[in-house]
Amino acid sequence: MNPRSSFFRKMVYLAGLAVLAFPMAWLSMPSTRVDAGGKLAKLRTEARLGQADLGAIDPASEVIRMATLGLRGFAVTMLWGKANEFKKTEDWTSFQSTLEQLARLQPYFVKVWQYQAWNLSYNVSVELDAVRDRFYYVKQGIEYLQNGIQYLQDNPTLLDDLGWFTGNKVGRADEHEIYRRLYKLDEDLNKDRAADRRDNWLVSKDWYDLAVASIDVKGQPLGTKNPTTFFDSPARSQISYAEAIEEEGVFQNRARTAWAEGERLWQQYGEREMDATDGVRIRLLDLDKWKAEVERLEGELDELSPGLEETMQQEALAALTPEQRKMLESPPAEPTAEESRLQQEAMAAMDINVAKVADRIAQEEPTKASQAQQLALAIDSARRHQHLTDSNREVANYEYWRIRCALEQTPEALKARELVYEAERLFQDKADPRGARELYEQGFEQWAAALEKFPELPADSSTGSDLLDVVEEYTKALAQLELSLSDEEVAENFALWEIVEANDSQRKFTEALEARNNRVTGKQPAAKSLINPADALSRP
Amino acid sequence: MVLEHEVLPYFQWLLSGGGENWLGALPRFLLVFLGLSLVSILIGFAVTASRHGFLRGGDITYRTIASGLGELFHTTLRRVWAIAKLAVKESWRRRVIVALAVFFLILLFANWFLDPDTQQPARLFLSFVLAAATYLVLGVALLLSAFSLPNDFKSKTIYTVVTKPVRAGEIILGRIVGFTIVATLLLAVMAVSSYVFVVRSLDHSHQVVKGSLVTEASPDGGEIVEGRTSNDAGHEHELVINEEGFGETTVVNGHTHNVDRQGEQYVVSGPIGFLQARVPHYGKLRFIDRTGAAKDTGISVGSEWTYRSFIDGRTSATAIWKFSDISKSIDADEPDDSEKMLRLALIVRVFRTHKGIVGQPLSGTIQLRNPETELTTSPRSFLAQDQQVDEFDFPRKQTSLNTNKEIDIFDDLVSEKGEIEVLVKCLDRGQYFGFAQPDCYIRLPDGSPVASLAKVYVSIWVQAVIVIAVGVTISTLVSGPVAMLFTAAFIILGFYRQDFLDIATGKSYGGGPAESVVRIANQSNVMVKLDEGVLTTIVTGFDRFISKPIMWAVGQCLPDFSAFSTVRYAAEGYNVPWDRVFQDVTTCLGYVIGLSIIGFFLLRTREVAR
Repeated sequence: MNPRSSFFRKMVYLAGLAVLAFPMAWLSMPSTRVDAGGKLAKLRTEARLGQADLGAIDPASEVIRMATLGLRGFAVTMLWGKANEFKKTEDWTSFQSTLEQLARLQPYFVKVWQYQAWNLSYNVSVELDAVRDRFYYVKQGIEYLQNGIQYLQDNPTLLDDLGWFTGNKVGRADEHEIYRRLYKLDEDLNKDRAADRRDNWLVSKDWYDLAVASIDVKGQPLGTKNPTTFFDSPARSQISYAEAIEEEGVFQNRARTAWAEGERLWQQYGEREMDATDGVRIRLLDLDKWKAEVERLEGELDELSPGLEETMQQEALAALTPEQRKMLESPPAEPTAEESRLQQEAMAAMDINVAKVADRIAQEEPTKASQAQQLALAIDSARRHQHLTDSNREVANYEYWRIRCALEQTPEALKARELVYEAERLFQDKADPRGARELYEQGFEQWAAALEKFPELPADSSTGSDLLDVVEEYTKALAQLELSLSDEEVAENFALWEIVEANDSQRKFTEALEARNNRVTGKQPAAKSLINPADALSRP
Repeated sequence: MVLEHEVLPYFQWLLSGGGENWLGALPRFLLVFLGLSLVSILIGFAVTASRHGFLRGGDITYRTIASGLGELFHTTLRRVWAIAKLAVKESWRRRVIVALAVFFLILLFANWFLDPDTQQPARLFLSFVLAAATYLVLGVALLLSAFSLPNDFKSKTIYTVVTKPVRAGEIILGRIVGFTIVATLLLAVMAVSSYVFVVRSLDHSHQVVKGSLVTEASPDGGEIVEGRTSNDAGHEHELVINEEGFGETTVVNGHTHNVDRQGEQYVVSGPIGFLQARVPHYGKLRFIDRTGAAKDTGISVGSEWTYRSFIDGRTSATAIWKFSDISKSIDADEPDDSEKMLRLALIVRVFRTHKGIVGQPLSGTIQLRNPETELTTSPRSFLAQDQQVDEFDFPRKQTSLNTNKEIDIFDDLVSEKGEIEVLVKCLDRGQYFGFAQPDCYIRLPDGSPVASLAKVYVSIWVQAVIVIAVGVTISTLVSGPVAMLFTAAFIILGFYRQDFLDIATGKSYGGGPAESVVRIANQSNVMVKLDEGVLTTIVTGFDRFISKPIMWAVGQCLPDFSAFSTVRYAAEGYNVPWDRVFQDVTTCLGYVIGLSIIGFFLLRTREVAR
């Protein structure tokens, strides 16, 4: 073999390699945000086959991990150090590119995606001053999580985070008005979405729906997440959507439909069976059912030996020592150790629970023992269900949102929101306090009418405090007309006194409330002294 | 651009030093050289004295030094060149071209990993290709230099070489020069291809979205057309077109486009402004605090990174830069004397203690002042563009503060010493502006981006040459793999030189190497105080009197590879200053000279080279 033929052979090899590179690229190119990638990447997307299910298929990530020659841990540690350093020195471009490298090295580590996406959307975004730049990094965090989903498909944690970032970060930040506008205009975040669905809250709801489906359909574990606050998310996003569009001036049919959908989803959430503590499964809508059940079972127990519980109470009371009885009837404000002991003994003796009642029945009427014990157990279980349902309803603020969804759909509430919105525009944009005052007052009347339909809604709920903010705006318009809520002509037309009274925790309306009370009770207001008492004292 | 260490003028750096280096580079070099020479002589003498006795040992040491120095002075370029040519041929035989193939392969697939939809795509692409070139060339330099001489020893080729009339020093220098030529050629090809790669990768255009075009009245009474471009390369621009049909887009991701109306169609040009080479003329920064007192630094806002310090808004707090060497020639681009300007660039770091009005930037003022007469211009207000380079062109004619008289920048505001001051204030109460010295500069006419990129490659070249010099020198003494490990350790330590020195000087927590071993065994983190006792005393004593002095001495000989990198200049659109290039090349020369001498004596210890 001469040198020339050796040379030609090598050239042929080289050409072969170069030719092979093309089908390799066509087949294996990974997908990016702007490109669907090669054949394999497209197939993976179509078949929804994440890397976690299939194992290693992303060539880019695999090549990088193999290129570390077993030093992946070392490389990852270095990259985390570098990322921290770049963040410290405000080198955001390098920081972001380091995160991309990290993700390639640790694609199946959920915490990497979670932690660094949070870093981008929450920590880096606030380091920038311009709102557009801030939104850019909020978006980067969202897209980072979306990349994570490519690797960890159907991971409820990442899907839930996507819902949270898209909803709360975009829709609740101080800059939410601009963020929401930018979100609607963003093509990357709204791929294949119809114009009327380009809303961060609706997208957030879709992500939450996927998170819920990952549990219900794909059978993924929920981990340590609280089911009560996990499963309410789609409905909460829908409600936030309804709130947001009204804040932006969309009322009547669209708003009513949005609230109706919120109500439907909230009802659906209430009907969902969820894990509570100690393996007990509850449904938030079952509270009344459990209350009735407890009442029924207690009745049955009482029927076994009528009046027994009351008798046992009296016996227990009679058995107390005079000292214990004293502690029970008039407990001291700051008891000594001895007094505390006596108090606890008295309370323990007076605690006549169903188990004690059942035991007594068993002693007195052995034929009813088994039935009594079974009833005692059933009452305990029913009470536990009732308690867990009740406390989880508190956690979700279930009743408030149920009423709120119904309230907001009433024609009065819809009209009230519209009038208040118009009043704010008139006052802020057109500097017309007189027109604004009129619209505000009409709006408050509508609010009062709407609230009257829902007496079960407490006056100091968050709707009340939201309304108080509106009242504050109204008083600003009044101030420009040299009027205040204390003036009789204003107070007479003001329809939300109850709301103001219940929510004025900062005592901004004390004077107005006093003036109104005086008018109602006919009491004369305390005369204002024109002389400063200090001055009066210093005079000869 | 963030410049944590000031670039000193070349001769100041060389002779007297400044900033953190209290000694010039040349005296430092001489001190290290002298120290190393003395240590080497002492070790040499100790070895020969132990083998041949005290007097004979002294004699041998003296004669080795004398003959060695004599040989060094008889080095000829012709013989060095002959050896260099051999080294080039050897490199070619060892398939050095593979490095280029790997580089092209990296460029081929780089777009898989680089997302052009970032706020600074030019920076991302440049950083990537320059980092790839650096690591590849350093790797090639390491392999070529570490295995060359040991292979010659192994294959006995060295016996043929030493039969020729060449000296040991020439063998060393020749190889360094030869491998340097190879590295230079590699870098030249990489430089051209990486430039083409970056330009092609960033190249894109847009379409004008016709539905978005709206005709508006322009401030001068005419009409302008406003609209936006299509979304390409992950972004879109807003645009304004004038009555003549020409327009420009807004700056997005560090670039703009020109728009030209041709009949009914609009043509959008390629990106403008990705690759720049701004030439800054820096001044000295000082501060006035809210009470009017002069300060060297402003307020700390609690940031861990203390690069910038801050002034509080709506108070007397002011950041003041004093610029020297100012004259009309500073605006060399403008031929008309009366139209000359002072072109200022300012980077503001905004810190808010309250949100203010959402979406509304903070405002500040900028003024010029004569440091001698204190004649000051009326304040020019601006809206702070956080962390962006904002440019202010000050025309020659300004109005003075209070009197409102017309004043001339170069005649009235520049002092007789050629100095001018720039005063910057924040106008919003409760808000802060942060500055570091390089955040304000006078912008000289831009340099060539290609030339700037070439200078970045010079800094990579400098690193490669140092690695070659180290590899060749150490390979005179040990086998190839050991030489490679030594050189690799040299490179790694060089990249972490500052951390290494911080351990040696006790600036880092956790003590020295011996203490670290104990801490690892005890699982005590660096903040935990070790229990007092004999072991702790021995360990800390060992570190204090043995490990740390050795580390410090080694640290003095190490080049700071991380500081050599000038990638950031090109990536952020700045011209690499010539002072910096000369400093790097001089450092490199120092290493080549020093290591050649060491290599010469080491080679002479090998029997074959005597």
